[in-house]
Amino acid sequence: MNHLPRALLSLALLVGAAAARAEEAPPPPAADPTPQGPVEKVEVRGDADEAATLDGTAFATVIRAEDFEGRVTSVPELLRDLVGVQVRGLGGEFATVSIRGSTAEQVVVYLDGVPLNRALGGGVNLADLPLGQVDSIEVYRGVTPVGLPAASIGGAVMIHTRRASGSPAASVTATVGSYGSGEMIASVSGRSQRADYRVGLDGGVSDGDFEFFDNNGTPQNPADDTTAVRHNNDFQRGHLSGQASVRTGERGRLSLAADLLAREQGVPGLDCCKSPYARFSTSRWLLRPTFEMPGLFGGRVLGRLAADYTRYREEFDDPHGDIGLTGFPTDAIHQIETLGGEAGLVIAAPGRQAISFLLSRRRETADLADHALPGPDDIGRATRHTTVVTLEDQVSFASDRFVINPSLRHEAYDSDFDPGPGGGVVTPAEDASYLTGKIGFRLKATVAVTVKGNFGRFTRLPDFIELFGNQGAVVGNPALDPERGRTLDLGFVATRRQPQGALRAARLELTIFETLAEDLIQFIPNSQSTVLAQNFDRARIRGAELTFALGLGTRFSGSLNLTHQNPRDVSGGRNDGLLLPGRPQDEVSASTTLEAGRGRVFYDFTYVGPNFIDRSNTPSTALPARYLHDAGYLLRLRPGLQATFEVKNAADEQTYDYARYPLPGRSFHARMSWEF
Amino acid sequence: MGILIVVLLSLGGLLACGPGLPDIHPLPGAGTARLQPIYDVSVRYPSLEIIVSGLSYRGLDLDVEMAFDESTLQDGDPSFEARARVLSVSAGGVPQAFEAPQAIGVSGSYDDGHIATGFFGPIRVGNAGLLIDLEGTTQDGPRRLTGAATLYGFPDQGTFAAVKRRRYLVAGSDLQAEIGKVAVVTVRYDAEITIENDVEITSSDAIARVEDGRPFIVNRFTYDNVQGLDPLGPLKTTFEYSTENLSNPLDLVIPPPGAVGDPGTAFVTRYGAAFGDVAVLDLKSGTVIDRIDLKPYARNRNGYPRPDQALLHDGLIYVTLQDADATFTEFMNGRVVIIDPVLRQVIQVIDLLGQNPFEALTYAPSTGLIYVGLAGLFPTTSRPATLSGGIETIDPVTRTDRGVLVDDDALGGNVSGVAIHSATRGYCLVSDASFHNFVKVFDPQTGEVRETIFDSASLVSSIELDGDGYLLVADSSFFEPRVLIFNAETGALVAALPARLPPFSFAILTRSLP
Repeated sequence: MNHLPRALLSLALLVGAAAARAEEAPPPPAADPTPQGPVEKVEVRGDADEAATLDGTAFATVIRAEDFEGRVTSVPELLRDLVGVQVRGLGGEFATVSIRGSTAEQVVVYLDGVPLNRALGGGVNLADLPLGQVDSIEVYRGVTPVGLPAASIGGAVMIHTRRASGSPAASVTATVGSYGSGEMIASVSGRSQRADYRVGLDGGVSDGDFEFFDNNGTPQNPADDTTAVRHNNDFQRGHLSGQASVRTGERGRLSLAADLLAREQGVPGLDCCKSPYARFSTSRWLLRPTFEMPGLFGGRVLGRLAADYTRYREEFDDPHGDIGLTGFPTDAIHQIETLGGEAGLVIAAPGRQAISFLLSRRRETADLADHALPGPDDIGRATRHTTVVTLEDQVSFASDRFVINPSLRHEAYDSDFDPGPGGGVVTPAEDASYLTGKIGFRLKATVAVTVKGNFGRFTRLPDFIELFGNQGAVVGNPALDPERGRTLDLGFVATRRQPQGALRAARLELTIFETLAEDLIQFIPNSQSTVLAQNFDRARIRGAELTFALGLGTRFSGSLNLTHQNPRDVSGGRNDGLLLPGRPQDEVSASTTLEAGRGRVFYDFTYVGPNFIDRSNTPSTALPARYLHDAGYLLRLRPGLQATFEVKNAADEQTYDYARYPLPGRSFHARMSWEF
Repeated sequence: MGILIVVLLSLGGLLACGPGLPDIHPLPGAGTARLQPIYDVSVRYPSLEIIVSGLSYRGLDLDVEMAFDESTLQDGDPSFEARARVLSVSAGGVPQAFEAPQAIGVSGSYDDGHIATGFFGPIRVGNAGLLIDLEGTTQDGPRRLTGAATLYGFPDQGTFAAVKRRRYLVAGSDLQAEIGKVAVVTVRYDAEITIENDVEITSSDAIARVEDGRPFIVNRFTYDNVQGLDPLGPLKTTFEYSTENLSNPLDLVIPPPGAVGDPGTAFVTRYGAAFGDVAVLDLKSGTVIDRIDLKPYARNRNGYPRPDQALLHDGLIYVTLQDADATFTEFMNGRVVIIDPVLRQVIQVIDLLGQNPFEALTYAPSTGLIYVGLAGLFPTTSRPATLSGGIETIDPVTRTDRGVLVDDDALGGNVSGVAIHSATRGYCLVSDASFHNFVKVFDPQTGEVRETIFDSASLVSSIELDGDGYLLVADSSFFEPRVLIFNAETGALVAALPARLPPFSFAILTRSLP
């Protein structure tokens, strides 16, 4: 009788606590760590479901540190190969993620449980998430687990940094590669009976001076095309990450996570219209104390309190106005501070239920200035308060064979802009609140086959630029409504695992989905010099995702991810029925790994289908399909010491995620790591 | 086994490489061809008896498009060459199948308003092979031709009426992508109005121009090139020449070439902060061969002249200078510099009384004046509109500013377009402080502001007269973009054509017989 509540409590302990990892609070021995389907360990990147514990019915993928151990890679490269996920970069230290055809703004990215999306606008730059200290990445497609304080239409990406290992350990890694790139990663960790800690430090540099096809700004004139070198595309990055935790009393655990990032980089501009001077620098401070109290009231209640503080400082200096369409020189400085608090509670209720509750309150301020403005440079301060209350009831039937988890999310927010001497006059935005919800199910049809499905409604709040405009061409529209999305998915997971024999492990997941996004916000020209954000667009994305993972014998692992989607404009206007720009219909990624003696050979293939750059789907300007090949060899020199050689984009394809922003061609990398 | 799979996958993947570099198809270049006068010819033989498929009909009507070779009209010799294309045939009012060459050569003469085509054809209708001869005179200037139509071998005399075809080049963009497209509006017989969308791809910040009888697209900031369209064919790109990266070209004029076969030289205003000049672009080689620096004529703190519009009049090039600083917060009063294209030098500077001459510079033969629209300062989120502009006039004879003709206070907003229809009727495009847009009528001589013929909460990007009595208005609504055509004499709406992309700029492709 107690088995189920304990299992649910173990699950719920993780609800709302992205930073709370199973290793910190091991469940009682009798407890099944999760009420999900069987956990398979197929040694390939991006195992679906494994340890994706925040929502047992959601379609999720987890990448663990072991999956990219020894590889020369990055968060954008890892996400790029996942099913249903698209990453778009600018060929430098900027990349954003889209899930199931969403926009980047419709995906919430968390670092150790702290949402990184800002009310100032724009998607999260994945380059702000160095991989060196990352332990795992969870990607929830289409739905956001109820325990997370921010939700959106596309889904959620959760980055977990590494924690202390079982015994004192340290590691050092050095990487060098093409285009003057290099990276150093170091970490040290320790553990005592009551406390543990881990500190990681990493830094990276690159000149980013790859060659690319330059059409001289005349796409129809091949006579003046050349091969040029990307300039002002360098970066330098430093990153410090640390965690410490201590047990308090019999059950409590207090932990603190800190993350500091600083990066300075060039902004090279468009392919033809190069900017030799524009620079961008960013720094981020993140602190997150968490206090967890499992096993209250006889083990029937789990409690958790958390707070977070994030501070960004960003400066974009474009002294000649080379970037953007206005031609204005800019020296914009944004200081963004977010203070958040969360309280979570999980109650093991009668009737094989686990009721979880989350209250989150966040305050975000953005102080905006532009030193290029003549006269006062203080543009003003934008502020947003957000209050979120979520409630979920997870009910299990037939000894966990069937689970449903209906949930509600109530979100209230108010935004305000207080213009400074250099700012303009704006109308305050109205307060608003929204109720959304989600229901999912999971049915273990057989020992090997699990069927899952979800239906949910989510929103994306309008950002500060959309609400209040900027000092240039954007006029604020305080009357904007949030973007709304309805998502539906259904699929099955079939697994087979046997310790002996040629077929060691196999896993097949097939999912179909549909997302209907409404009231999408677009900037519409409303005068000779200004644009205005308006709610008007509507999009429907239908698709299918297939994941197949295979382990043969003791040496071979492989995986194949296929995504087909049909992202259509259904606004009813002149582009009704056409494909959404920037969303390829087909993506394929395949990975293989072969263990050979002290070494390992690996090969990754990525296909991204052609996609249109305009809403009217002009074939002649569509970005062509790309075929990327990465391969490498890892050699274990001695215990704890290994070397890797890797070639990326081996076929030297000239590719683009965005028109006019070239991506690097072939590159070579070597890496040496030592754990001791 | 495992290594085999790795190898196979690797090989398969490598074989599945991308399409590689695109094929190279060099563009033909600027060439020397010009837009052709095209006339729609209605030929009628009301008393002709004709048997088609065993059925007898009385009366034969033909709809013929006739495109004149511009060079043979301009060579001083009355003889001309043209291509005729039969579009439809009806007998007794019933449409009939016909056979005719796609382009029928016509060799005729045109002199002093009198045209004679000689016989051209054959046009096979039923079993009859028709050869047609047209002879007539111009009406309403060269806009119409009427006269007699003769059929070879038949005594029946017919008539013909030809109407100059109006064609407008429309540059459109939804500003959501890197590309825009041009459309072509065609007006046949002054009544049948159609729009052909997606004719050619441009940048998303494109300005349409016709200069020296040739259609051009000026692709502005971050595209920075001049795109030439084929004046004879379906307006496909014949050349695309860079004006240099970040130069932000805004306008161009092309003085008539000095020699036969010379594609000419374009004078391109380059607005970009690092440029601030008029580039001399050799249309033969596509290279910038010279520049006329305008920075000495800027007075703002950064010395940016911000050259905007260019007008070729009486052999001289008039260029408006916005004279605004790097941040567009300090605007000096506008200026017009006059450039001698032969000397490639500024020969005079005219100081204006208002600020920010903006996309409006036109010469009106009816008044003999040059009109400059000055926007003042558009409103932004940090700055309200400043009505420090209006419409000023310049006397091109004395090359002096005649002062403010229409104050923008009287217009109630920022002026971003001016078009002069006659000595008593001009139009201007005005945007008020709430971003509402108006097309207003004013008197080009007295400056009196009259009625509003169109207004919209959506963006109205430009206005343009077609020279034949129509006013074009770019209704750039994102949701329902339209090309609006008004009767310029009365202000009455003639047509509202839904466009595929919001229209932003017009150029008049219509050419006329001399």
